[in-house]
Amino acid sequence: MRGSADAYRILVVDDDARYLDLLQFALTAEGYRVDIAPNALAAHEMAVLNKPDVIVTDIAMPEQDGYALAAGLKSDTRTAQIPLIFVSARAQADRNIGYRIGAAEYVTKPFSVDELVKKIRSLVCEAKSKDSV
Amino acid sequence: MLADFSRENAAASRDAGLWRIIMETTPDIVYVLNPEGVIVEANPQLCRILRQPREKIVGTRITGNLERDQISVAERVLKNVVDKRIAQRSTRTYQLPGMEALTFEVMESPLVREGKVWAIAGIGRDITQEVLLERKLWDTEESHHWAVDFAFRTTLGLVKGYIYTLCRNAGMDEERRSRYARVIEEEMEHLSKIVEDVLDIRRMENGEIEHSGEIVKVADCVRRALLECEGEAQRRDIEFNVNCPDQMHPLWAPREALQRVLVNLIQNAIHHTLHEGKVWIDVRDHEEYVEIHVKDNGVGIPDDEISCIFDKYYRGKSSVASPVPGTGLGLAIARTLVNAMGGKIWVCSREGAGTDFGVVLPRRPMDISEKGETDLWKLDAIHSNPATCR
Repeated sequence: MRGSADAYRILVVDDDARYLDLLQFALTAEGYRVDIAPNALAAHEMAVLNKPDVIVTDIAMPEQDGYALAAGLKSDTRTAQIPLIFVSARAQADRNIGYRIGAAEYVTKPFSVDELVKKIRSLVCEAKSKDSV
Repeated sequence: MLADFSRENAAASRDAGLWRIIMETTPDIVYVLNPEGVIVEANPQLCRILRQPREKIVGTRITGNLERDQISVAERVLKNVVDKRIAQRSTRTYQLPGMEALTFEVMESPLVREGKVWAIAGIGRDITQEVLLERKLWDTEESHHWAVDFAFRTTLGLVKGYIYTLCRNAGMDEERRSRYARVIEEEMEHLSKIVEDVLDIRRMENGEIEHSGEIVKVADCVRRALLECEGEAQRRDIEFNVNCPDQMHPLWAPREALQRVLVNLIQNAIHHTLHEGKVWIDVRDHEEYVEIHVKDNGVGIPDDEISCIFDKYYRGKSSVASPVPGTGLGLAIARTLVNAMGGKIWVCSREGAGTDFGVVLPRRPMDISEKGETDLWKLDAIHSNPATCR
């Protein structure tokens, strides 16, 4: 996989700089182009600007949480189609809301980077196959 | 031509009628704002919930009657809708005169004409009952475990991710490697603290922990406590302001317990202060007691939560709604330790302005046992003096 995913762009959203640093490095090492945003507003702007292939977002963030970000992205025609992966330390309750609000995938902390990469890869493949159809 | 015109008009008037029926019967609240955030239209459901006629609602600002800490957030949301032309979802709590607080979940979208946002359309629902139910649930034993579970998962997630990345990337540069190792070390410390807190609160309640006193230098305890909290404060750009005399009358106290009280209060201040906030540590040396204040200019504590904040596992509304770290044990432990030292702990807070935790410790515990109520009476006098509250 390494080096083969240059064309794909991932946006990671988290208010914890350590998670941003970690995922930016780990996903870049997997060959993705990675943008990072520390809050929901910056994330929406970046999504409009950079058109990422997948957005990975934390749920618990101050001011606007991951749900608010997802609702904003889904109601914006420019970003509505971008698949979203929710990352959260809250288990089942968040997962249900997450799927209802339009998340394509849900990852619970503590997750393994491998698990996240697999989910990103499958979403990218899905999008690719839709495009080719 | 005339026939076409009539048909179009009839269709338009049918559409308008249909539109009016939807607006009048929907259980959702619907409103239109001008770009400045003033309500220009409100549907009957909004009027019903607010118990006000449409004429009284139209012309008022959507941010009027909002809870104080939400005003600036709501104004930023509206600005984004207009400037960035993006729909925004948010939750708002209104405090209307003579009514219980009402909470709405709203989605606001820009209405664009000729490239300019001429209005904002808002649609939302009343979630007051859901929020009340959530708060009740939050008070249950199960939710206490949830807070610990959340803290564990977040911290373990970081440790797991950083170890994975270190192992998989042998060629990583030295600066990054040592930064990652530091995060692992800090988070392992954090995990130990969570475990320690959960176990210790039980031991303290069962009277299994004894503290032996010694002569301590308060300034040293403050310095060590600050050192322990430094990393977290730096990450959140929080500035410490310390006022602690180096030369003080000797204090007889269990050093570790005092330090733990300080750390817990400082961490609590950091967690409830926004980025680039300030935390003040103020130590005053009195003849018979030491007075310590840990103040912040953070989010403050709502009046209805003040009485609960020293309860074990209690986490405020703002902690539940946002990612404030912690398990809700820090303040409970601080109170237990201060009580064990024969002291007093109290809090003064104003929502949106900040919080001031005060602690007084008798200089010698012997004074309490020998003189009975005398010193405690003095401590009570300080505790109840409104001048000590902000």
